Amino acid sequence: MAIIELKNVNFRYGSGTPFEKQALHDISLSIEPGDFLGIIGHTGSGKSTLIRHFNGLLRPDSGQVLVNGDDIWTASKDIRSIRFQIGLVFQYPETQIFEDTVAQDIAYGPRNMGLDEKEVELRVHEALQFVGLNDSYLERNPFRLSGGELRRVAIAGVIAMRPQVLILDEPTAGLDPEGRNKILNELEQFRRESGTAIVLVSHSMEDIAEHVRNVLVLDHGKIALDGTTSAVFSQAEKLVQLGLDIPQITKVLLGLKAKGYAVDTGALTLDQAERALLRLFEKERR
Amino acid sequence: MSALIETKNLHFQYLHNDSQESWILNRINLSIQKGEFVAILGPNGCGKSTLAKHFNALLVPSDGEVLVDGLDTQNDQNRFDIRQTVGMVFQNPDNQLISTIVEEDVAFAPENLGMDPLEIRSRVEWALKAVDMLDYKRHTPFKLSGGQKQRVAIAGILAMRPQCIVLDEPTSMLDPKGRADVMRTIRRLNHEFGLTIVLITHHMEEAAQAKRVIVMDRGKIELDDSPENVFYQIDLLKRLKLDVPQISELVVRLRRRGIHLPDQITQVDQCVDALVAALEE
Amino acid sequence: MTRDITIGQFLPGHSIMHRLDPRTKIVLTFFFIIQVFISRSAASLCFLIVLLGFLIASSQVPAGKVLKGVRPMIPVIVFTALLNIFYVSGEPVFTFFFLQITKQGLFTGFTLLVRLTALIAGCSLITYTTSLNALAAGLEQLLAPLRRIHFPVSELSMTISITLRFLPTLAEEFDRIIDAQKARGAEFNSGNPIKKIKSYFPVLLPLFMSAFRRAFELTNAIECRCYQGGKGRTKMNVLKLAPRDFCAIAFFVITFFLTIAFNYYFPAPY
Repeated sequence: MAIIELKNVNFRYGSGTPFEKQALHDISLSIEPGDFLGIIGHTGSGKSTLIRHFNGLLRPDSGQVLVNGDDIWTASKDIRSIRFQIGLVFQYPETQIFEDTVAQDIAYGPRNMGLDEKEVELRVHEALQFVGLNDSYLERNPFRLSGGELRRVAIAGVIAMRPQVLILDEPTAGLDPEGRNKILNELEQFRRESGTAIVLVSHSMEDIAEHVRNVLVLDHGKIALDGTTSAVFSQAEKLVQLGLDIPQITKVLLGLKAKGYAVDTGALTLDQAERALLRLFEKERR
Repeated sequence: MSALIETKNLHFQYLHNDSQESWILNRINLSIQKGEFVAILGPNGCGKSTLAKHFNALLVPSDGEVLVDGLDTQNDQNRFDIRQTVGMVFQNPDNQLISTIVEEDVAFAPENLGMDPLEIRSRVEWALKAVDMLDYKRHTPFKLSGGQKQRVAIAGILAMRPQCIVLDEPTSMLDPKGRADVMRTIRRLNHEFGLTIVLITHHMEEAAQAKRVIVMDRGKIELDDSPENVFYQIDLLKRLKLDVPQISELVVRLRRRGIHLPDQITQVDQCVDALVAALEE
Repeated sequence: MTRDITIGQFLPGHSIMHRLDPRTKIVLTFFFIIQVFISRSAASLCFLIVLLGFLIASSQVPAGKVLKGVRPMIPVIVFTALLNIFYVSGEPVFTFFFLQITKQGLFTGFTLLVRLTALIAGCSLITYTTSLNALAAGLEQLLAPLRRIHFPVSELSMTISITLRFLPTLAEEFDRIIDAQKARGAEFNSGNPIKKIKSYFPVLLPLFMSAFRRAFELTNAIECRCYQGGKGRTKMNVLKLAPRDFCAIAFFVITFFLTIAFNYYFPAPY
């Protein structure tokens, strides 16, 4: 069964005011256990609005949001319990840190769940490990950590709730390449070890290309493209039209295609691009 | 050409030094000429922002000296002239804008300089035009996109008519469209107005647009060369945990496979042309 | 993102009232307040109502909107009026045990009702027709002479400007942090007041931290733009009085004397 399922979700901001704006149009999608989904789209395409529907921060005007098969907005449901199952990490999550030690801050979510202190401690320890920080960080003051470390502490604060899905909005924004790669690699490892499904929201196509299995492209609140990552990337021209930035190597392959060479433009990684080009050279030399 | 910014044996450390490193900036000797477009790369904490803050006297050296257009930054009386010569744009566009109306924000610096209202007006219009934001002069910055806000911030500096603009990761909080718009603006300021540009960035594609790239690590300058040369020092870039541009790595790999590609390809269209040439062989 | 923040109640428009110089409007608002307080006779009170009607008409702000602004103050107005009805001594019209209503009391109560309503409606007109920016600029230039006695006029206006600039940004951030803590299971609408205040701690603390960080960065940015306080600072937009401003001032001077005349020739009955 899908963990999250959206059926024909519509949402407008400022309903009934002159500023009313349709933000989501008839969105249907599902997120299955173990998924690694990328959601891309330019600013204002509805990404942030969409993920706020996954854990009940926003309520659709029409359509259904199902978590583990149940509509989260039917009466008696406790919306808070949904938020423990669907972990949501916002953009620049370090701005949500408020406790004076790393351990205390990570414990905020688990404590809200009503877990006993022993379990909380266990989860804090586990979550910190998942983000690649050792126990020496537990008692440190979060505000003295580097930007990359602080970001990882914030992510650990959500992981510690052991959600079934972890949704991250631009988890690498504003970090240097080292910080970015560390976080992406740790997420990948976390997914493999814990089996948690991950949804990565990003406008960095390079991050998406290397890590994600399926991609959903949003444009003006509608799903413009979806499918496996390579299937979506092979439609690079369309991505460019949608105002998205594509990896340099994809641009090179597209450039060659535009000059009349029959080259496969669906390459996602350097290895794949290299192979595609070598194949092209062999073909042309014959 | 003469040096606009010159550092001689620049050392820097904060007074309350709680890090283990003895210097945040260690013996920096650098000279930036008028009209140059320089990119500075390096991992976080390598000292690049600290260095940039020395270029307009936001920080002054603990040892050594920094001259801006011949003026010593150590001397308090030069500070005003130095800040008018070298303007600075920061990472977060929100935290640089002080007014609720775009044109009034851009007018802020000339107003501080005590200029005549008519002169201020003409500078504001000119600056907004240079960053292509004139249509938004009566808008409120809060409603603009990140890229637009950052261009307004650039206009706010331009209105001082500086000779040089130092930009500290100006695109790192922007989306691809905003990033491209800001980069186009920066290139234009360099080409059309001959403005000296110092760009601190993590994005190799942006650094590739400069004429000169400086790579820093742990307070020192590791490399100072053209992007073509810097981008092919793949081992060094990897050691410093910087991104290796995909194109450089692709070219190196293909060459290893016996495909003849020329040196120093950094741009997508150069790469496509070189591949086409190799295919036609 | 979800919020469309409008601070104050400015309604953009092109009426004569909108186009007046903010300084004129500030000064005339004071004039109006004085006028409200000197209107004591039945005739001058009627004149005040006519004047208010005229002002509302010339601002093109829907009268309903202006009166809506008065609504939250109704309890206070009614309470004050009632108090006066019962407390002013004089010729009794109605007696009930110890309660006595006098003619004088009724008149005073009615006077207060009209005055307070006019006062609030009149003052709200300036906020409907003037943006906060314009108000701040007007105030700055009105207070400019105080610079001579070292009153930090331009620092004050700079503070106002930065506050206006950052309020929506911080409000947006507030929303985002609330969402982020909700995603970690925070509850904000339950429990007793103390618990409720405590539940906002995880939102307010990060918000303060962020405000400080912004302030720090802003300081650097302002320094780069050669800010050094109000000394030697000029303004791009210098307010200039137009003929209509002089007309408005003349109009108010006339109404002012008319009110005095009404008070004098048709004095209060009691």
